[in-house]
Amino acid sequence: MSRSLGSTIRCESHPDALLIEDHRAGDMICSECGLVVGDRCVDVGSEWRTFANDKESKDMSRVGAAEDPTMEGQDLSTTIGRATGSAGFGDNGLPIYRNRHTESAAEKAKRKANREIKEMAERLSADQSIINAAQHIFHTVHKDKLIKGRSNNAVIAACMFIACRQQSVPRTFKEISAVAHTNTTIKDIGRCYKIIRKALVSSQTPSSGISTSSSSDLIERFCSKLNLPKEIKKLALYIVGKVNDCPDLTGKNPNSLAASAIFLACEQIGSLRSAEDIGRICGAAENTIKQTIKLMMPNLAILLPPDVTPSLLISSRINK
Amino acid sequence: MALRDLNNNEIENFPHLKFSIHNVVCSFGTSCYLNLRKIALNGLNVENKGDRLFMKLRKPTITATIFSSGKITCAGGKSDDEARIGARRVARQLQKLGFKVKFLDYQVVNVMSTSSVPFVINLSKLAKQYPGDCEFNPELSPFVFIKINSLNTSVNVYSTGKLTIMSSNIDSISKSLDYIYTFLYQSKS
Repeated sequence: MSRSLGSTIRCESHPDALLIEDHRAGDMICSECGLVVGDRCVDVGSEWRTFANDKESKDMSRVGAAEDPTMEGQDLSTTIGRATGSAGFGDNGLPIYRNRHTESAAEKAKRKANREIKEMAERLSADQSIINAAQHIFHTVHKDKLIKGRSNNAVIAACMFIACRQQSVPRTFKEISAVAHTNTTIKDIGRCYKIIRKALVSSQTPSSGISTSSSSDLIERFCSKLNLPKEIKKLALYIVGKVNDCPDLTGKNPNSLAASAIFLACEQIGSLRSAEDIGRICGAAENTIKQTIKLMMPNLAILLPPDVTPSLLISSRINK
Repeated sequence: MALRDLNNNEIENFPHLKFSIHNVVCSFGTSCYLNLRKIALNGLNVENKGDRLFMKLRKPTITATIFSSGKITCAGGKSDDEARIGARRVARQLQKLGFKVKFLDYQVVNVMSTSSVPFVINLSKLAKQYPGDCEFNPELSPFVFIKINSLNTSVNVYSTGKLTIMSSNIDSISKSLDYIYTFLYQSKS
């Protein structure tokens, strides 16, 4: 059957009919009369044949993984694999064919940063979406050379911080600094964070959502770490929500506010926790908690919900 | 200029905020290279830090940073007059040491001053409402950092009402105070 180039295949008796593709035979069949109109159609799907030495993977596709945007074309190149069998090794026992080390400093730094971010995420028990976000932020920042003079460790930590915030699971600076490379102070991370944030806000849409941290996000996490019941968590969240109405407590570190709210809630409901325990989990010192509670005491009427009477245990516990 | 609060009522007694200047930093150039070693050995009250010298004057209390290219930065003046006098005294000292010094491109680089507002401010409210360049990181620092680009000024606002204003010239200080007063008043707690 001869066809002119560029003519679409269609059934002669039904030119407007849809053609159904039969994958198994490679045919195009007219849906009206069943006439086989085109044959030997090339299947553009993935290869489905299996070979004997193929690994037992569920996905038999040979296309490979999705392209990683942070690698910028690096993952399209191939490398020489490790030598197996005796033919791969020379007389001296070393492999005959080795990869040439052609990697620029930028790519090395990026590779190292990706590894660091993964390790940090493991320590923070953060999931894959946060890792991807942090790596993407580092890639953006590194590409535009925004943080030229800063130490890479602080930049990586700041990327992690921003990624956690973006995914609505904020980690405090103290937690990030504890998990980051040694000698990365909160001050360094804070400085890098300010620079990166400015750059991200200008380059991306406002929907990247980097808002100020609030204590309420932290309370969920700290309460579950301390194994506190739901009522305490609910009360602590209420207290922290009301903190904005107290003029004495503006500008306090959200860590210490969260810790004192939890302490207050514990006292109210009666489950005794020492300020030390709470402070250790929240990243606030015992004295800080006591100071903040002293500031909260005169405002208990505002802070506690209207149906709760303040417990008298609190003052004795603080002054101990 | 009528100030209005959130209910659109005019605020009476709009106070003109007083401010006190704590530090004026200026820089000027001498149009000749300076031999730092000669100055360090022969000059009065000079401290050596490798690639630069610190020359301290007593009256007015000024610390001058001297570079071998001839650029000099003077910090510590309590007013722009003091800064200028201090700068000229430094140049005079260098002249006495034998350098052919000129007083070129005198410029006030930075003015740091403080002021205060007579009420307590709710910082998170201010950070949300302020329409402009404004940063509040309570984890890092207990103040709101407001940047006013048109006047080249930045202000640190503390919850007690104290303000720290950093600007590039003295005239813009009172202008920036007038500008932010409305927003501070609206975030009064």
